[in-house]
Amino acid sequence: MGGASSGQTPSVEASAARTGGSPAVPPSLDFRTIFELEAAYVSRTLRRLGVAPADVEDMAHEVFLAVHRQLATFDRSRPLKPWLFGFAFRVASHYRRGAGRSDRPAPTEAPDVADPAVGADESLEREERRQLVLRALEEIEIERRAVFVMYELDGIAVPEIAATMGIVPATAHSRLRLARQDFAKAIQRLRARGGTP
Amino acid sequence: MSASIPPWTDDLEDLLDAERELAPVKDAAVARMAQRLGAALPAGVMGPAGVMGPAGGPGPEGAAGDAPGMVDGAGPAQSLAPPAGASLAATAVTGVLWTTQAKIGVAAVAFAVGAAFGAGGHAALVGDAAPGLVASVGPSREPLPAPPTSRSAAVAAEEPRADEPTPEERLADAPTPSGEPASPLASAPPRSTANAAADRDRPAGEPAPSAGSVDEALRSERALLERAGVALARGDAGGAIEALEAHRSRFPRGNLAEERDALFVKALAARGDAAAAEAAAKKFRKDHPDSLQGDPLK
Repeated sequence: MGGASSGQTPSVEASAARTGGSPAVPPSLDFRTIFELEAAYVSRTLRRLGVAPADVEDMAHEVFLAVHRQLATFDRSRPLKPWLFGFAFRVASHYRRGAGRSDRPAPTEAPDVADPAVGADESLEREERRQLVLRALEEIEIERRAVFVMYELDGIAVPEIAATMGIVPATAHSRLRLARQDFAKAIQRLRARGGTP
Repeated sequence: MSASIPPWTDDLEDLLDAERELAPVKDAAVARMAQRLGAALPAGVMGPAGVMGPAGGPGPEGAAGDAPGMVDGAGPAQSLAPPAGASLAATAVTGVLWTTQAKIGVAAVAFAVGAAFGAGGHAALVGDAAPGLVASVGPSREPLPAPPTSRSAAVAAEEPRADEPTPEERLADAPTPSGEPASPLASAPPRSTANAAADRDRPAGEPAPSAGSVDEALRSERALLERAGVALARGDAGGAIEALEAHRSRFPRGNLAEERDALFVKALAARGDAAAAEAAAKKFRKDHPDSLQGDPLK
């Protein structure tokens, strides 16, 4: 799927999520509820921002401690995910500079989806593609990557991305364009180097 | 700019789709995180255990369990077996939820949980109210005839959650026996009835999964959809969407994916987001061509 024929058109689901996926936060949303709703999102975002699988839980812990500290500052008229993304981005940036990185080796991680019974091939193939995407993301400079991930994978609209990153929308657009080029090149490189999932 | 920029192709979009589909994040990992946070934050912040909180909750037990909890299979031992009162407690909570939300909430929730379990499982959940509710939202339209694409066929054939839970994971998802807040957002899922329903209604021919993994996944799935249904019935479309996205995050191709996707369309529509609702409906028809729910927008 995906409306890539025009080159810059996000897929149907991405655009559906983009227009519809940024609900205002209900006033009743307390810390625990935020955790329950978004623990998976935060974990996934950290992976996409380059945190090794073995370190994701530790870094997610850091994110939620920070979220807890800052909860009072959250503008509840704004969507939750970009706000959380900001925390994940800061933690992941810090992590990439060397802090918090554990010695646990996990370069070849086991698939999250261990599916011995049904659709093992299909599941494996999807997992390989997912790993290829994550490796390609690794090759994008992190500030560009953050914009790319928010836009392409989370379906967050550009103005919201710009607000999250503290940049003007034009800069966000520019980073998105560059990140797409980087991503396409990285995929090309990775495929030339290894298999072609 | 480089002279050799590869074009942005469908192929790249397909690759991104693999990541957009969202690998499930393991319940065990989420439970470990909840436990650590419970230990690190002031008492009560993580609240009594709910949908996916650790069974021990915050406080001394949670703190004691923190360190070993990071090691697979070495969590606290106090809740390995579901407490005897769990069934009653869960039923009572469900009852509260249903009566307080009965006027408008039931239709949406019934929609969410009804189709997945058939009459048997559904009756176990809602008792005598079920038939009328189901009738009000049931599949009155013809199934859409669109041919399944290879992806949606694969999706339809997929097991809900295949990762095998460790004993610790079972532990972490064990029912909580004691008082739950009355707030629908925090209420416990009807674990025991879900358990029974899942056992009874598992389609024949499915490979025999570990009973624990399926039941627990199903309970978590249903809890999220109930939360969404209740929110939607309250007019809180944003809250419904949050819960549905949480479901999509954890169970991208779960047992209740079809119900989730249908509810998602309704939630978008309820928020007045016609374009997004239409796009989601289109995706729903594509992903669930054989759905008995008909067009979620109608």
